[in-house]
Amino acid sequence: MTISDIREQKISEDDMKALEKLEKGPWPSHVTELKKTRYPIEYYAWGVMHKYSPWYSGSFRVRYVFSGILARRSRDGKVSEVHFRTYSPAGRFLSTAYLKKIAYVAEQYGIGLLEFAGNTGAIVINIQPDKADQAIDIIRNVMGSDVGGSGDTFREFYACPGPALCEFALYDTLAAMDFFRSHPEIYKFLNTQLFPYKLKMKFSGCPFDCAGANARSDFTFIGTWVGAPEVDQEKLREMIKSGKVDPKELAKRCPSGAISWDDDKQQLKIDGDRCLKAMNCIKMAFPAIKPGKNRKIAMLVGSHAQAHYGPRLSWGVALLDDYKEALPFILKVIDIYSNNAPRRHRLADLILRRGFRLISDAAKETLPDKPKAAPSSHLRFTTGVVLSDDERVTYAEWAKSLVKDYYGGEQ
Amino acid sequence: MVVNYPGEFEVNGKKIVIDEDGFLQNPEAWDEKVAEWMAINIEGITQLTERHWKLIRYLRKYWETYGVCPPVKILLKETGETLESIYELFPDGPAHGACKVAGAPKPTGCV
Repeated sequence: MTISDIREQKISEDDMKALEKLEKGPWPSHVTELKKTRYPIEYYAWGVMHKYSPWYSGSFRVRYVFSGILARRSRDGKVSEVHFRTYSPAGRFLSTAYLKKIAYVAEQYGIGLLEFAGNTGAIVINIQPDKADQAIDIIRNVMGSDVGGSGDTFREFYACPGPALCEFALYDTLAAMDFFRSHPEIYKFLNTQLFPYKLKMKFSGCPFDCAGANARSDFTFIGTWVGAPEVDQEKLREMIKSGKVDPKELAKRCPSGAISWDDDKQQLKIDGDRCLKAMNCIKMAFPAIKPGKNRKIAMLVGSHAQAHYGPRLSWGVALLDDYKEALPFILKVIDIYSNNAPRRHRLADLILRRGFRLISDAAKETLPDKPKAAPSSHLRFTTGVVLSDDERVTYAEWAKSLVKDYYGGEQ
Repeated sequence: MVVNYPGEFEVNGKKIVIDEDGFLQNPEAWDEKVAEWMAINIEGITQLTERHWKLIRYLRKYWETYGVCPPVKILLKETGETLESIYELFPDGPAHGACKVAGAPKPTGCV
């Protein structure tokens, strides 16, 4: 395949024949579904046959809408595809009435295709470019949502269903998400691209972390408690008698060994200082072992899946009593991030380059009375470090000497 | 919008290539005459004032130095404009209006 083949993008009947294979079998087929809509399926077929993406990145603009619109063009320039990301309610609770409105917009202004995927960018509606203006008005006025959630903005927030569906929720994740999304100080960042790169915020109700907040959001809120989980000894004894719970298994599954079972007194003891909130005991014996009464919200910062220096987990920052207390800290960190980070660097990349002290100083200023994490006092090596030629030679020689020490001779 | 793009045009004796979205494909051909031509014919800005030029020159210099357009916050800090005033000057906004006129190619990724 040459470059001119790609540019011409000749659509042939043979390509479509290849797709027939994907329609066979007793499972739902994406080709069958795409054929029901006005999606240009022959371009997908071209891509499958040539092992090359039929799309290249385009750009589409609607006046006074600053994010949430993405565009792709086919390589021959004949077909363009514009899709919107729209906001969805906290916890992803979608009523049938709301879904009907989305379906109406997709049918009237788009190509009749919806996509419910991912944690950001809730619902993707493929829009015909000449009807984009009207579609935005309908989404805002009839659907009651807005277009947004792409580019260098606050992406779509995500909260686990929390107290609406779950017995483990330790704080109201849905209210927390609504508070931050509708707060005027945060709201202005939702739709205008002011950051070096995207920022995300996720809310998990308990240490199970169903929202995946610890691994993939810049500002993370996880419900937790201080001390040991609550144990109802009588209920636990009943559960043990009926064979539902094995106390030795309970003690074994605790990662820090905080649980011990007293056979004579028939009592379970949990050392609160050593408890890591792994939730293994609670999962195994729920009504008998519950999360503790002294409930807090752990705020963590700076995790992501994709960025300059690779994926990483969060840094813990502080224990809060209420999610509203985090607002001044978040605004301060946003300020630091937008002033110091280079383009296309996530918050964690900035922390890796400049050290966690950047965040802990902001926390010291804005969260004065809360238990906080301190920066490490160890010598800091970061991936952002650039060595001069002399230093590189020194390090190489040092590494060689280490090898010599271990293996005794040149290896 | 006076011209139909994509296409090749000649401005002040220089050949410039405009892509489907109105961005300059050969940024090395950019000069201030090209910027004026792009502002009038693609962006629909009738007259470039001194405030326009301040933004355009700053963006061009930044792009030539770093190869990317600056974050909006840095742009506001360096030029002393507010976000609203940038939208008054360039109705398509900083990335699709100002950076386009300053001759930077199309931004990639989910913008």
